[in-house]
Amino acid sequence: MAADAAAALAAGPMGARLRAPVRTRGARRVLIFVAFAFVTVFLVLPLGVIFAEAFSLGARAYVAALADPDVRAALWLTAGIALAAVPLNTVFGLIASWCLARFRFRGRGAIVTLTELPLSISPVVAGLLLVLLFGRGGLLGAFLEAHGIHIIFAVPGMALATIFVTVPYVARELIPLVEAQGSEEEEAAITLGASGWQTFFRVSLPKLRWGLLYGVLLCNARAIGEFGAVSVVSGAVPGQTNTLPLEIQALYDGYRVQGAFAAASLLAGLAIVTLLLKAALEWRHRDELSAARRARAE
Amino acid sequence: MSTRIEIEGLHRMLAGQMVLDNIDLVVQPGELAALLGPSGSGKTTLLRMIAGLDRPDRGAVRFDGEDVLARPARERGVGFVFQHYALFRHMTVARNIGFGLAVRKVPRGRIEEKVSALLKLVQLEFLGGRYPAQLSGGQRQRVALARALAIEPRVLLLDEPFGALDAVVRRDLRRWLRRLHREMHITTVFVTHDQEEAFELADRVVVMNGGRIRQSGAPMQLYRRPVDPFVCRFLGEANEIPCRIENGFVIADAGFLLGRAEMGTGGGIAYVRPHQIALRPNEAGDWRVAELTAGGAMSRVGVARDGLSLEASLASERALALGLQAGMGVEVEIAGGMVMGDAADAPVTLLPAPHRDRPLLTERKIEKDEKEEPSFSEEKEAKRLLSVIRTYDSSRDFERRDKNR
Repeated sequence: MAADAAAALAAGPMGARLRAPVRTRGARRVLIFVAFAFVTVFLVLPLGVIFAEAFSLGARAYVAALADPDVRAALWLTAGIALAAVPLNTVFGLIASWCLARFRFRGRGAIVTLTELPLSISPVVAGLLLVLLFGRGGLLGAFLEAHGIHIIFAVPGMALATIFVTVPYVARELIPLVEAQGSEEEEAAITLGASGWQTFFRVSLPKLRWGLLYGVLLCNARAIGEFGAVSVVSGAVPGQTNTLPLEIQALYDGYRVQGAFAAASLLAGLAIVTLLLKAALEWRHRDELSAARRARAE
Repeated sequence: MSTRIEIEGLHRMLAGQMVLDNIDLVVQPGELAALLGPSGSGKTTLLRMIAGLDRPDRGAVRFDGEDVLARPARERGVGFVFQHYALFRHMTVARNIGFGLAVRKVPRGRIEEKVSALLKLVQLEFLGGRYPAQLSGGQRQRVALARALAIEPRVLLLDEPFGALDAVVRRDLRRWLRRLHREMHITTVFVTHDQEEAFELADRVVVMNGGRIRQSGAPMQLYRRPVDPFVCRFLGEANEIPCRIENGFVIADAGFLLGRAEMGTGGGIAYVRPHQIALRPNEAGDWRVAELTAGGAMSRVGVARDGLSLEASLASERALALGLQAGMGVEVEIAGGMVMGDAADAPVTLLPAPHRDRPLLTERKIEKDEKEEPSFSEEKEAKRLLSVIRTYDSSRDFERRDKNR
């Protein structure tokens, strides 16, 4: 305190004015350094390692690793599962947000809470739930076996697990948005003579488009990257029931480190693209998003 | 050409609450009607039912005699302007206006023609390419109106059309809308809670409260002859003076004469609007100026006498000319009003009391009457009246007043 006062006196009237900024400037530098250091150590370095390892045996080996039939099969399976999970959850998100925002009914709160359940439940538990439900000794196991339907340790189970885990992403984005926007625009469209479909495609959907795209992006990223839930219900047969994350694990366990990292670089690349798209979307439609966030916070 | 709207026995219950209770209303072709009422009076629900955005439990809505309740909103041909405009935020102004035509699959050339004509009509020729977020409130309002007019609606419905605008814009838009209506002559109903707005715009004002229509009529008729205390209070401030009607005189319970009434007898409340009270400075007067608030064009003057205070309003120029000041003595003259209550089944008009400057009969005539035997019963009656006045209102002691001058 005394030293501060002395410094202020010594510096004269100018010093008195500058004192506070000078002190915060020091703190600012330290904080900025800490932030950068943290991001570097925990995010940039690992990402760098992925690409460094992937290319450690040269570009040719990298291409060869990706050309591996099992890796390619895993890539297709991952894409296929995402293609099932994302549209389904998008449609669910639209329907849920629509009816939650428009109607007040018993159990409304339950739906809102339940859509968020997959976020708080461990993915492994989610996988186990499916096993308990559809597995050999499970609730529906006997019925499924009698009809020769294989869900657990097969692709359908993996798709179900992914769908379960990605339920919240679109719905969570849309519910507050729809609620904040109200239904006056739809009513206006109807009085102007629009049919239900015309209203949906020309008014409801476009006014949600950015929020929807944002939700789809997040949902997609999670669908592609999901490991825990999928690994529980996967048969772990390379070339058949391995998604990209599972294949990476298999490669790594088989001491094919470079191959594992090459495959991982695909996921990392997808993550970076998602991130860039997300940033672009957030920038493009920041007003709408912030309105939705406010609505959710309330 | 214009459409006539008939509403008959409209009922609506919502969550155990009567939102609309047996509404009967006819809006004549080309009429501009205002639904006026406090929030929760059911006025917006009624408007939405005319549009088809809400359904009644029972009753009928007819356009030119044709029942439209069976028709969905999209087929009713109503132009609806929402309180917050409800413009399509992802469309340009031009596409907003053309929306109703686009969904009807009108050829693009026709749409463009119509849109540019409407943009001109609402004086936004150069803003067709803008998005709603880039417009001011008043501009959005006009786009919403153009969009509603694009489909050539049979009736135009507006929900609190000026509620979200600031005072100056509101006044301009009001006048503009009034002109527009005069030119287009489309049957129009708008909802408002602002009586000034209703009075300035509407040919007919429908006052609603608690899901019922309390009174409906020309603005002046409502203002001058409200049917009940609610309508009277809602249409503007009023002094409420407990009183009774006796022998054709309205006497305040506080013990002075308010004026005359042509019918009724018994207790009631006199509703007197601030501008219906005239003031005259007179140190010997029974009233004192308690409070003086000089607003813009109008000044408000609070006057009091034992046990009673009233609020008067007069042009600020006039207040200045009279030299009104807090604490000074004044005479109060009630120029009009209504008496409602037990005294009569229907509200009774409060007529001004006889006064020296505007006497029932001249004093000279009465003096003459005192010398000669009155030959007319009318004159006898006048004499009786004057004696009653003297008993009830000492401020009408003309002689004393003249001496003070």
